[in-house]
Parts: sequence; structure tokens; C-alpha cells
Amino acid sequence: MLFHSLAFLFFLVVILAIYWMSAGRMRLAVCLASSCFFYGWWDYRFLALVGGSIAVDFAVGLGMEQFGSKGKRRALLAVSLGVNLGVLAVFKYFNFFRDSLQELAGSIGWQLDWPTLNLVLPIGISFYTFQTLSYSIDIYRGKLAAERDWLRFATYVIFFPQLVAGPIVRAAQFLPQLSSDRKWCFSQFQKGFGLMLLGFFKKLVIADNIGLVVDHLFDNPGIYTAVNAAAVMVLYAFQIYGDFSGYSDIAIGVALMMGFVFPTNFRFPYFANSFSDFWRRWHITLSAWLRDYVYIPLGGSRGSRLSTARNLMITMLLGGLWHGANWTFVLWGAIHGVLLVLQRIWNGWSPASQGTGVESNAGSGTLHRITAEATKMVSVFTCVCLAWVIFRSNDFTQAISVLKPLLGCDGFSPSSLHDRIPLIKSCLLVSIFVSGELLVFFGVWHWVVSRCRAAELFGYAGLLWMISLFGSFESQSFIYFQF
Amino acid sequence: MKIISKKQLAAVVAFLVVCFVGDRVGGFAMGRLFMSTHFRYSDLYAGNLSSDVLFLGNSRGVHMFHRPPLQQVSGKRVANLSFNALPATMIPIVLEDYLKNQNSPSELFIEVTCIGRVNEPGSLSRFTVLADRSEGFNQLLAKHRPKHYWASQISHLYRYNSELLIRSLFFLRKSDQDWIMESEVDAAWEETLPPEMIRRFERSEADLESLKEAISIAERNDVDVKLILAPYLPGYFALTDSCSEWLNWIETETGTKVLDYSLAIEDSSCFADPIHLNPKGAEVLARLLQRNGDF
Repeated sequence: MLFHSLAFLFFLVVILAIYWMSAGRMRLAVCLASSCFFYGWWDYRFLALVGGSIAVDFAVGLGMEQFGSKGKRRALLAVSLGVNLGVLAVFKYFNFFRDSLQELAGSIGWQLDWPTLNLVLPIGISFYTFQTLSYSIDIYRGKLAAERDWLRFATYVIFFPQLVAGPIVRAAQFLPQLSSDRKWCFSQFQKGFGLMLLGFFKKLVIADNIGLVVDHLFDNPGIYTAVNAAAVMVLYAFQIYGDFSGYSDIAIGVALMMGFVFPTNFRFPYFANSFSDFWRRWHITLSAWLRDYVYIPLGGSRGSRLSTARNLMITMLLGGLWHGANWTFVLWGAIHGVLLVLQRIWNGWSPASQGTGVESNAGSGTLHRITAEATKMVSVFTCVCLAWVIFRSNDFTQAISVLKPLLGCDGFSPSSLHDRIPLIKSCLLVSIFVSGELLVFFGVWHWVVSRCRAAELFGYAGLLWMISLFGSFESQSFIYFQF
Repeated sequence: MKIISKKQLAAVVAFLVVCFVGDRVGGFAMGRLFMSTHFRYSDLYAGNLSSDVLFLGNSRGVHMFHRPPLQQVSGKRVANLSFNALPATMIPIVLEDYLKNQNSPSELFIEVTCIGRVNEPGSLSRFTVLADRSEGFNQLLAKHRPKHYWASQISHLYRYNSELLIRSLFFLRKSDQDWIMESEVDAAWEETLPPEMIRRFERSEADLESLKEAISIAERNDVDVKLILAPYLPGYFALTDSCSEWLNWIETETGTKVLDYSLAIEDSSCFADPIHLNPKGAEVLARLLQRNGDF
């Protein structure tokens, strides 16, 4: 069920009531049962798939702890990797690689006739697969003790707020919280509720309104002027941000209402002043996962410059591929990889010189620093927006046709704008959203709330009013559900 | 276990009260804003749209019934309550509300392509701004879009979550009766025309009932009803089919002749796109209507 549906709101109210009225293992059982119900609502058949993944990794975890020899532990890890990545490969990537190989073979005159698998992509498979893999790998590395309680482990994997589209929560963060009953705390519940409201605002007000405008550009790019196309591309950047960070906020907020603290997944990504900074702010749990389980094991930045560049490219290519079975995602990942490498070349190769998001000390004078920071932010944002066009496109042809209008020198006139009313509405809403982000980013909001608690109440009410007045309720699915 | 202290309970209650009051105050403010504009539906419910001739239809009606040339050729006061994708079910509602808020016109023109697609009650939700102004609309919304009905009853702000509010703001200072696309159809229109944009003249019994109801309301109020099919770009019209059978069906069922102006204009420079006239085309049509004695 979609988060922004009446069914989910009803489900949440009922589950929260039952959850806080129960205790001990009953409470864990409530979490597990509700999560199974939530996931089964999409398609009950895929409960078996996630159940299989849970069973394999639970057994592998116990096995790795029981066996002292490195060889056996490695074999068990290989089982976990094989099963999880195998399932992911079959459901998500089989047809993609099959079609790509057939095309490649066809281009050199070979005929391949491999079967196509008509499989529906299970919702959330990319997310829970990475979650269970992190569990197995951390036990292998000796960083985590195996979970001996199957109920707790199953809840960790399938917990409904973050099951379908993250954040990717590490076992070390979540399993200890599942070990004991969460204590009721009104302020925590209130904070979770506020975060959930913020998530609904980002999804219903920002993302879904912009979606109407963006879809038209990608359906018919040839009729757009350069300025119109550029405006819509910038709007897409906010659509995907609102959509994904909105989902994360709802997931983290719901978990908080149940007493669980999940990691932040977005931290003002469009204020990044470098590409590495962007990846420390965007989908933080995924980039941290890729850093810890791909980039660092490959060698990270510990080797030569060439190996660092190689490791960055492999990590970002895999990151792109993780998003979907399409060469556009791979290219998007490659673009970010190249940008990270170029940044290294520009700034020097040491990790310390890659931009921390803190105002740099280059040049003297406040105005100079502000100008330099603003220039960096705008540059990063522009590159990210252009890369999002590749990400959003169905294929390279569509990407080129959408980017092509940017090369046009056709001037600007209001009458040449398409979908004027939704475009103006989207621009207005993005302006309000960015203003709100700036208030939080510079600490103004926290300063106000610390001096006047009622401001928080009005803030929550304001979000509800905005959702009523501007929300789009045509039930558009979250973008990241397709991953 | 104490779940919530008195102070916290008070905060929850205060939050709910603030939400409710803010919603009502916001809804009131949005309503005042909407009614302060010269958008056609604002003027309708403000009683500022008295006319001798009333026009109703969808976007083709918006462009066909362009006030300046119509008033110029006839000397009559003209009011156009057409709107983009106006659902057929809204036609009798809008007419009834017009008659409640204004004196009866002597003539009513209805552009018939607002019926003939399979009923689109979905577009009703755009008209929630009328929720506290039109009892007929409320009943229609409750019947066809109950979720939107209950949402607009619970939240007054939700009523203004509508394209109509934003569109009305374009007419804060000027009347929207002059609203029309001023472009000229692209010579290569056929290459860029999506297949789903080629009109299929479908028979919708529900829409026909709405048309009959509107005719009945008009006749009860001594308003002379004229049904009309506005011009199409000839090349576009050639791509459609079943129009004449569809017109016969309407005439037979309603007992009212349809004035067929579908191919009345051949000059492509009179069209903003294949299905809408531009100001030049609207003027040509106005003169044609007058010359033929239809207006």
C-alpha cells in the first residue's frame, strides 16, 4: 500500500495502537505481522521470497559464528552473497543482460536466442537485499554478533516503514533497538509525527505537482524552448528529491513513532559544494553502504591515483546499476564517477581536500567566500540536474532529445511556456520549499523553536494546511519503488 | 503507564484546534480571494455576469464564443461560462446557478462536443471551489467523486486545491471573458498530433441526459436553446469519423437541431490548433453566425 493512501493511514493508526498496547515478544510479533501484511498488500507471493532471504541469512549468520575456520565462514558468506545477489540478478537484471548481450551479438553477426523471464520485480528487493548483505558481511568481518532470535531478525529485515524504499538500516543500528521494548516518549512520538507530515508535504505538494510538468517534457521534448526545458529539468531535480526524501522522512518518522531511531537519509543535498559532498548528503545510507562494502574493500583511496579512480568508477557504476536495469542508470552512475574523479584531479587526491560542505577558506573576505561557495553549489547543482535527465530517461534517445532543447537559442517569452499553470504552481511551491530548507539549513528554524515551542505546533499545522491546499492526490507511486 | 501528561494533552488539543481554525480561516480567505477576481465563475456567483446571450461548452466553447466580436456584431450582452474540459454533468448545474444569480438570458448556446466522450466525472474535482456556492455541484460531487466531496467538507482549504483558483488569479483586475489562445496552428500540426487527440464522437447516455436536463431548465425559464458544433480545422476533421451520425443522434434524442459549423472555416490562420479557434477565427465565426441568422 502506498504511504500516501487512506488505507495506509488507517493501517498506521491501528498498528500504532496495538503496538503501544503490547509488550515484549508480542510487540515484536506485531511489528513482524504488520510488516508482512504491509508487504503482502502489494503481492503476497513475494513474502516467500523475502522469507527465503531471511531464512538464508539467519542461518548463515549463526553458521558463521559457530564455525571458527575462515574457509567455512567464507563459504557461508558466499552462500549469502550468492543467494541474495542471485535472486536480485534473476528478478531485476536477467532480461536486461540478456537483451544487451543479444544486441551486442547481433551487432557482430551472431545469433543468440536466450529465453526471456516474465517476472514481476518484487517491490523493495534492492533495499532489503542490501540490508541483509550488510548483516552477513558485518558478521564475517567480526563487527557484529549473529542474531539468535529469528523473530527479531525477521523484523529487522522486513520492518515495514523502511522495507520498500529505505533508508538502508544496518543491523548494528537496528537490532539492538529491537532487543528491548522501546519506551514511550511523547516528544519522540511528536517528532516522528512531524517528520511524517514533512514527508507527506514533500511527496504530495512538491514531488507530485512537479511530476505533471516533468512528464510532459519527457513525452514531447521537441516542442520546448531552451528556457522552458531548463526550468523543467531543475524542477525534476526537486521532484526526485521531494519524492525520495519525502518517503525517507515518512519511513523515519513512522519508525520514530514506534520508538526506533533510523539514520538520516538526506541532508540538504542541493547545498553540496562538491560532488563528494553531494554523495554525503544524497541517499546517505546507500552511499555509505557502497563506501563500506564496495569502495573500501576495493582499496578505496589507499592505493595509487589510478586505482582510486578505478575504485570510484566501479562503485558509482554499481551504484547506478543498483537503481535499475537500464543503461541510462549505468551512464548516470558513470557520470557521477567521472565527476568525482575530475574533482579529485582538480582538488588534489587526498580525502581531506574533497570538500566537507563547510565553508572553504579559499580567498580572503566574507563576500569572496560566499561567492566562491555559491559558485561551487550552483556548479554542482547544474551538473547533478543534467545527470538527472539521463536518470529519468527511458533510453539514450530520449535523453538526447530532452537535452537537445538546451542548445537552442530561441529566447524566452511567457507565451512559449508549456503547461503554464502547473509550471507556475510548481515554481512557486519549489520556492516555498527551498525557503523552508534554507531556514532549517542556517539554523533559523531551530532558533525560533527553541524560543517559542508554539512555533513547532504552527509549523506542523502549516504543513497540513499546505497539503490540503496544494497537495496532489492522484496516487502517484514513489519513484524509488521501482528500484 | 502514563501515556500523556495534561500539558501534552493540551498541546495535542491545541494542535487540532489550530489546524481546524487555520483551515477555516484559510478557506474563508481563499474564498474571498477567488470571489474578488473577474474569473467567469467568480463573476457568476457574484452576480456580475448578466447577459442577453449565454454560452456554455468546453475549451472549444471558450474559443468559439469570444465576447468582443460577438458583442460587436450583435450589440447584445454576451457571457461565456465555457471552461476547459467542462464535464457534461456540470452544464445543467452551471446553468441553474446562473439563473439563480443573474436574470435569465434570452438565448443559450451549448457547444455540443462537451458531450460525446465517455463520461469524465474525474474532472469534476477541479470545481471544488464551488463547494460552498453551489448546492447542485455538491450533490454532483458527492455522487461521482465521494472522496473529493468528503475532503472538501472536512477541509475548506482543500476546496481551493484546484486549477480554478490559480486560473482565477490571472483575472484579478481584468475580465476573463476575453480569454482565448492567440497563436496560429503549426503547419506541421499533423506530424506532432498524438493519435489519442483525434476526436472519436462517442455516444454517452449519461452526458446526453445532462444535455437534456440543461435544455429542460432553459425552456422552463423561457430561454431559447441552440446547440452548435464549433469549427474544426478541415484537415483535422477529415481524420475523425461518425460525426454526422453522432449529430443525428443528439438531434433525435433532444428534439433540438444542432447548428453544424464544423467545416464553416477553411482558413487555417483562423485556428490556434486543430480544434480551437483563435481571435481571427472567432471573429469570422461571429460574422458567419450573424449572417446565417443563428445569432
